[in-house]
Amino acid sequence: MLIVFVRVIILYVTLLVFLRILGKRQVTTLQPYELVTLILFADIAAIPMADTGTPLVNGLAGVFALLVASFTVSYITLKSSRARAIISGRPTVVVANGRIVEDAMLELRYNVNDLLEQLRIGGYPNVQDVEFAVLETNGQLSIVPKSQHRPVTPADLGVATSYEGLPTPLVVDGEIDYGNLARIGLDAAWLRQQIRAHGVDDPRGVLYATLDTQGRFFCQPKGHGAPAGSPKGGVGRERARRNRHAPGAAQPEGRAPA
Amino acid sequence: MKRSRVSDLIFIVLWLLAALGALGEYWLIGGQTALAQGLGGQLEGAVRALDAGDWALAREHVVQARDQWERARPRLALYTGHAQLQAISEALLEAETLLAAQSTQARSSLALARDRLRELPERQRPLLDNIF
Repeated sequence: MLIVFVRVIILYVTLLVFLRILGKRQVTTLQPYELVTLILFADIAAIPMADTGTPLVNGLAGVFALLVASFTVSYITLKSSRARAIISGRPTVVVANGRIVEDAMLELRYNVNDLLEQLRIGGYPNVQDVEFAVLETNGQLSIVPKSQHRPVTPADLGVATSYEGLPTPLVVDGEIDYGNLARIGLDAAWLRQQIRAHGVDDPRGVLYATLDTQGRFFCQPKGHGAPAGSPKGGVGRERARRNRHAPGAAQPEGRAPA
Repeated sequence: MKRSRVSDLIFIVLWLLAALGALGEYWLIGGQTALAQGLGGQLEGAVRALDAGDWALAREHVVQARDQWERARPRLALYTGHAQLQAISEALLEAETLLAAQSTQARSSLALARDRLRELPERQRPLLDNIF
């Protein structure tokens, strides 16, 4: 039993490292060769996990071979657009100018019901509202609505907006991110001063603190969840629970005592 | 190093490791071949001793072969199927037992052990027979 445990841990860590090497795309948008890799990874790793008569090295060699093959294919598709087209295919336009492109649908063996379902999921129940719909190589449908059916943007209204950018996390779960502080030209002394202004003495008592591009400092101390009365969790719910269970506390009407 | 070069580096390192693995495999097969030939020689000596009617010498050859085999077995188990190793151990033990009992079946048992030893490196070789 211990042997199986150790083997599983070794294979788990190996797979984790290998998937990390293969990159983030593996777990989000899967190209055909990536899907093949993931399916085979599971199968090849499972054999030496369960069968202790098979040397672990054989299983690791199989997983390594998959890593090499998958990385090589992704490397080739990165370097050559022709190889990319052969291995991953090309995106196909299935709706053009509000009309379904029948030839493309037949070529893809993609039926109209599936297309309409994807359009509805995308928020466009009427195909005539769609300028273009493109079936991507990873199987997702990209929808470009007609200009009259696009959500209104500030640009459409001629409204000027200021740059937003990304807020910089400075404290995450009590740990100061000195790298981010240095990147925006600030130091720990400034951060401590800001945190004290929010009633927290030690950065370790901060759950999350950020500085946005407008210069606004946000600080959420630990143990201060959602405000009281919020629908889910937080201090409010905890306080309400304690009150309900307190001796002599009034029970809400129409409810049996807990 | 530039981030754009990371993929190139991983690609090169992976293929280098794969090449090293392939070389290592040839080295391991070489080691298995040498071991199988050494043990096969011992078993042939046992057969010759049997032909000469010397049961004690034949058994001595097999005992030596078995000792050598059991010493090499843990190392082989790292990369060879355990069932295959067990089959060889059993064949050698059977041959030794039959020789000790001066059984006439000892000859076939020796032949079986020699065949299994010969197969040891053959199953690892990257040949079409083994791939398909």
